[in-house]
Amino acid sequence: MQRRQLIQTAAYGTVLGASGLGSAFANTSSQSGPKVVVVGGGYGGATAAKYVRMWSDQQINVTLVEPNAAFVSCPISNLVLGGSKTMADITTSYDNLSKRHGVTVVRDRVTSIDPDKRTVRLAGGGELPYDRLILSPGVDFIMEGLPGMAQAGAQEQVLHAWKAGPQTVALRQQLEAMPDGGVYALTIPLAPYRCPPGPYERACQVAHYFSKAKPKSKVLVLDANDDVTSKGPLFKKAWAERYQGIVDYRSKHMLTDVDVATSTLKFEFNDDIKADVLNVLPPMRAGDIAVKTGLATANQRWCEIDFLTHESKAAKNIHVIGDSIQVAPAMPKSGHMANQHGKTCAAAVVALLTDKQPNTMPIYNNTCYSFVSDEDVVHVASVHRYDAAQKTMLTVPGSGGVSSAASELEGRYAMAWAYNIWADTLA
Amino acid sequence: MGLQHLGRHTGLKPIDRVLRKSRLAVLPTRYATLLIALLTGLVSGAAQAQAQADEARARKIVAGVCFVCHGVEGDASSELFPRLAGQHWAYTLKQLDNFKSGKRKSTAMAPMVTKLSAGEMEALGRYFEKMPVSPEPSKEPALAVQGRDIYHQGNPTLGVPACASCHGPAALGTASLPRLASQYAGYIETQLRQFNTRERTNDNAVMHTIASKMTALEMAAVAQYLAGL
Repeated sequence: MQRRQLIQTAAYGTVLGASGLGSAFANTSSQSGPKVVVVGGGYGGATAAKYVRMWSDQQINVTLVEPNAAFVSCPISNLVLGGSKTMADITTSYDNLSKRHGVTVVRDRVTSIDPDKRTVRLAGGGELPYDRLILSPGVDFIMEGLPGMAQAGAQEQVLHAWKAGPQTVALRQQLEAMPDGGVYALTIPLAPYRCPPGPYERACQVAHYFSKAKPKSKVLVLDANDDVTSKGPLFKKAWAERYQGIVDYRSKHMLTDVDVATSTLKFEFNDDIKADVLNVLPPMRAGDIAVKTGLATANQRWCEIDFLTHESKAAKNIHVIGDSIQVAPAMPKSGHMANQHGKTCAAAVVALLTDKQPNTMPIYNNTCYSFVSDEDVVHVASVHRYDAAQKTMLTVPGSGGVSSAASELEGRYAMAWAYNIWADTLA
Repeated sequence: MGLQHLGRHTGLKPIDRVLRKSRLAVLPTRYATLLIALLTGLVSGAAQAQAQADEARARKIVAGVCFVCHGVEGDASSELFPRLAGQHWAYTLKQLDNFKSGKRKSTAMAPMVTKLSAGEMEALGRYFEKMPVSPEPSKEPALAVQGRDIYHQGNPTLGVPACASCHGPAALGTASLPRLASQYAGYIETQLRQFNTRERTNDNAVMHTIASKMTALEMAAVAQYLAGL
């Protein structure tokens, strides 16, 4: 189904100026400058592509390979399930990356990487050579531990909706089709997984929808972890005060299988649970292309990197950013964090390709807002700084913090955050 | 190129002199033919420019949000959503219009169509109709064989008429009836079930009557057959 197609720019190894895009980025076309290929146009990859162009004064050629035609944001996507936002609200074009920054955007999927030849192969045919590769493939799911999910049609019926896109729409449709009095069950894998507070926000959003549209229905949260992994007291307060009788949270529920035909969840130590709508978040690991290239050196799941440059510990000239990395202590897998990786990595790549010393003291932050209703929001923030002795990022003592209570004011901050980070990543 | 200019090069009398001498209605045939050809050329040039503008507009709308579920080329991202490639443009236009007016209910589609003009809906219909269709072999060939019989002969015992009698022998549909060939099996089944429970009411009552007489197995079989066409 995936066809190779170039979007926004007609140039792909040819002269950009000749494609009528004007002379502003004619130097992209020269192909004389160093070549950076970015794989994956999410928060990490799109940011890295833009900033390599900006910080090299457009002297480094950047090609971004992304199969989707536009960027769909995972942050805010739970509000589509809650019914207060639509897919259009969370979708942004890649046009500005090419028009304003001269990034060559290729709509395709990378099937293999040759670290020795320094090329990537595309599903649509063709190869792209690189001097440095920035890999931002996000997460993929470990389905091996859930045999029922391998049955034909299972993954179309039992959704994760953990990559914003068609599954977000489909899960909302399942919730709408569920009769009042039904049960929606959400399973959460052991940490680390993408977006620690995301599942608990989702429980709030589905409960919010039920409280308005089908008040006899239940949200059952079945968490493999010992307790809520992020903003615990705030979420528990929201469930107790706003969604009493709707949200039922149960910890230490390790999912072992799914019987799709009978809509039943099976656990390691707990009784089977049958529900009307199943939403299974399987365990996650680095995106398949990173695993396949042998970069997932930590437990065969995550990619170990040098935090000064984001260069892989397993392959030279390949930099890994975003959810795929083996994180530093207390570093969440989040969109905001991927954006910060993107900039740190872009600066290092520009330095390395121009024979300069990369920054020896990277410092960045994370901000995460969670909607407990359609308006009220809580946040958590942290600042991370490189520690030369331990060679990792550590949180700065006394930095960041967490909301004391949910508020409508933070709801406005949250949407401002979203518009700003979309602009920073893509505009 | 001006008309006088053309006249000089073709050896014809300048057109203004011709027009002065005779009223348009009684133009000598060869001049009239020339005029018509010129005007037609202008009109078709304009129409072509308009069609290109419409297609560019449609492509932009599709890349804006439709692609998430329906794919940039209309071949859909999963069986949960209909394949729009090859669908008759007028049928797509009608469905979009029905989502907008609320005749066809969908909370996923309703917010997507609120800002679409009638012209944009038509442009989207024409865009998807032009997209290549790539049928995949049926996942359940045995079921598809049963579906073939039902599609072409119906089920006389239960009073199910042949699908082919309206949707056509190749299931290509018409302006008012959808193309079903190469549609995802999962999507066809869902629609048949929705007709059956009257969740979908915008299309004619005929489908309600038919779907209410079909068994679940027949629905699955027909869907398998159509997906492989």
